[in-house]
Amino acid sequence: MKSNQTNSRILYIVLSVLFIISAIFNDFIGIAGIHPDILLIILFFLAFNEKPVMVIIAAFVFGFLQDIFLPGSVQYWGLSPLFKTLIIYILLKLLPFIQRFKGFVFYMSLFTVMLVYYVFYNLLYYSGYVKPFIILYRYAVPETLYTFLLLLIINVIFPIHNKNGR
Amino acid sequence: MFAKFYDFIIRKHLEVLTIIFVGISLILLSQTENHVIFSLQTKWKDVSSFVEKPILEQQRKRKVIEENKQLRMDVFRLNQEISHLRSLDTENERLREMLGFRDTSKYELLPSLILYKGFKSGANIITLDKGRNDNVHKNDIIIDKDGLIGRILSSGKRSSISSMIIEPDVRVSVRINPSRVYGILKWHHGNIFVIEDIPTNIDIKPGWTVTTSGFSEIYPPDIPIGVITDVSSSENGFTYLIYGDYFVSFKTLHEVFILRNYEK
Repeated sequence: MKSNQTNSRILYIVLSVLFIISAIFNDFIGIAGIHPDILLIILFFLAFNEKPVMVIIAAFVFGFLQDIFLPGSVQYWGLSPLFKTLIIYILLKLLPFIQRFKGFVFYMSLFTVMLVYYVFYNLLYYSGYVKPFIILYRYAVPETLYTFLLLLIINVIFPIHNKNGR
Repeated sequence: MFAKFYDFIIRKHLEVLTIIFVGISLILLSQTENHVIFSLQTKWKDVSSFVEKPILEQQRKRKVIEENKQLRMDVFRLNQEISHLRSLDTENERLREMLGFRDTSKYELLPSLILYKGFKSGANIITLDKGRNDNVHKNDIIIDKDGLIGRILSSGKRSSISSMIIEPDVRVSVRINPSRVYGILKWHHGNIFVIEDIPTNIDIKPGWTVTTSGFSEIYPPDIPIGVITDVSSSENGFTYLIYGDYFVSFKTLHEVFILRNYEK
């Protein structure tokens, strides 16, 4: 039990450091304009390990932090907290079902939730300027893949699937 | 009644929290320029620029060496053009004196490095490494060697946040040259702008250039913006839809100039 708590703390410290690095070196970690969302990864880990109220507050606060430290567009302040809050709420509601899955299906369900977040976020972010299909293959899918890949790497060291539950 | 309401809040606390946060997010979304967030962002950039700047400087050095090779070739080509322009300038000066015109350009250019280019591609916010310590203030103009980039939104001590003119909400008062027709320019997509509502009885041709008009309270006159690539008639038939390319390649920007002490 104590070891689990220590592991969680180390995980959150690692993820926080990763976020600070990504906030400072955002331009360097981008691949063809695609950047991973470290805060979304932290939220996914929180959703599996912390109380729902804590997670939903974190989702809003993290979205707000993203808008402050990693601003993208003047007219879209509030878009990150909006979509982070909504997707984490959906994830929390789906959690009992997702936790029943194992292996590939489990990770695919996480990937799908992440993809839904990126599709809706990007559809609004680029609305009116880029065609929806282009948004999907140019932004939503690559960003999901990059972020999900990072989540999988962190997952190797700190498994997200906590069988003991919260 | 109150007890029931309290029970409901406790039972549905997750949903209530979500609705509150969604509401706050929507309020934030409805505000285009939030100055509290601007000041938070500039303060953060003041701190993070300590770490970012040395790395960017290193990158810049490598790029400068590459550019230097290219510039040597350009210098040769430009020298030829200068000799031609000098003769035209002398003639122009003579004609201006005859007409009583004076040179009104009083620009001071402050070179600045871009520290941050937005979280996502297509972002229109950039952070510069110059702030109030360098006498950079809100609404100072940012340009590069090719033309207008945008303006300073908020300046911290050592850094400042700026918006580029490729923002959907930004409109720039422009002049089409050589016809000296005035219009309002807005970003269309990518590196393309559009100017609408110019009557079709005026002659406009592709290849003509677009500069700032000087009618704006922010942008001084005669800053190059782009070149017209397509002129078509709008649906009503009375006005043009004028498309063009920006001179500045916004995606590849690394350094900019801040215009200071110009006559607004």
